[in-house]
Amino acid sequence: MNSLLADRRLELLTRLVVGTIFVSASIEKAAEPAAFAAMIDNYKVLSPALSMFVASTLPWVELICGVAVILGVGVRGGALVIGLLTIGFTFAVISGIMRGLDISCGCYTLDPEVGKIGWRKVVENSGIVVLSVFLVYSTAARVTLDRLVAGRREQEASSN
Amino acid sequence: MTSPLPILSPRQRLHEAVREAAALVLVAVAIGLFYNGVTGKGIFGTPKPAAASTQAGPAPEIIPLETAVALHRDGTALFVDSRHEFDFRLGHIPGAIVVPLKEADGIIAGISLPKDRPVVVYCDGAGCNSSFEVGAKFSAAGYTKVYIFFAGWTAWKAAGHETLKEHP
Repeated sequence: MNSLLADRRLELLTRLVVGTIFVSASIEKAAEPAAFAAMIDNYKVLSPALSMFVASTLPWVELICGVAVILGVGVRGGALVIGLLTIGFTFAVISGIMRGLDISCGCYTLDPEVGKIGWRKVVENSGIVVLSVFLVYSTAARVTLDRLVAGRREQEASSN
Repeated sequence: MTSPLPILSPRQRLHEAVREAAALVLVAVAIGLFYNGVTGKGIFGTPKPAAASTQAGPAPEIIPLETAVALHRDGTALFVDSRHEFDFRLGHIPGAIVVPLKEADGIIAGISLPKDRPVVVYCDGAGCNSSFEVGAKFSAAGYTKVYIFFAGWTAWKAAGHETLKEHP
């Protein structure tokens, strides 16, 4: 288990996969919050005002955390947010399935005819949660921006 | 560009994650609010005007299965299936045309029927919204008798009414 957590290639690959999924999922929604709010409304879980607030901010959380995970700046934090969000999305999807809603997931696109909610979405989300947990606990030496900055600081400190 | 991470216990890794997560969320929410404030979108957007004031025709009326069946028997209404074309091919109400939401504007513009001809729009059933959206587009195009068969395809099929399947 420890060797898995310390695997550098696996860690980098996981970061790229998880980060890319969230960045690509966020862009369209961030640009069109009103359309995304309508999709959130379809779940009939939040009030319209709260749906609009969530639609105005949530895609940006997905975007910033996705970028952070890809670049390696605050990987653990970004992965934690992504994991928690995905758990929340999964509960919303399960709730929609149980209530017999035939609605678009609103996960990756605003197209109402793409990505209907279903058990497949639950399985996909479970995979993302596992990958996020891996990133939170990974001990691999990363190719990251924050390590690069830290390394330079150390070099500067030692040369002084 | 690589250097070993400081050795942290699992608990310390989680604490680090929580600290970073809080910072990332704060930054992201601030950027999101700034973007929406500057562009006038989202929570800073202007509320949508009432649907009726933007429609050329009156707002669509929701009808139950019995009314949809009566209109179908009458034969004068145009039945519109707003589901995906793939679902339409698997089965639909006889005589219906497929108008997926994505292509609705173009298809509706190409329909030349009297504007007082009844139009019945349906999709899968409860929880499906495309019938409302396509119905609103018909109203906006000037159709005066637009009906939303809200229970939709699911109720039609469950009631054992005639269906039609497209053959390849």
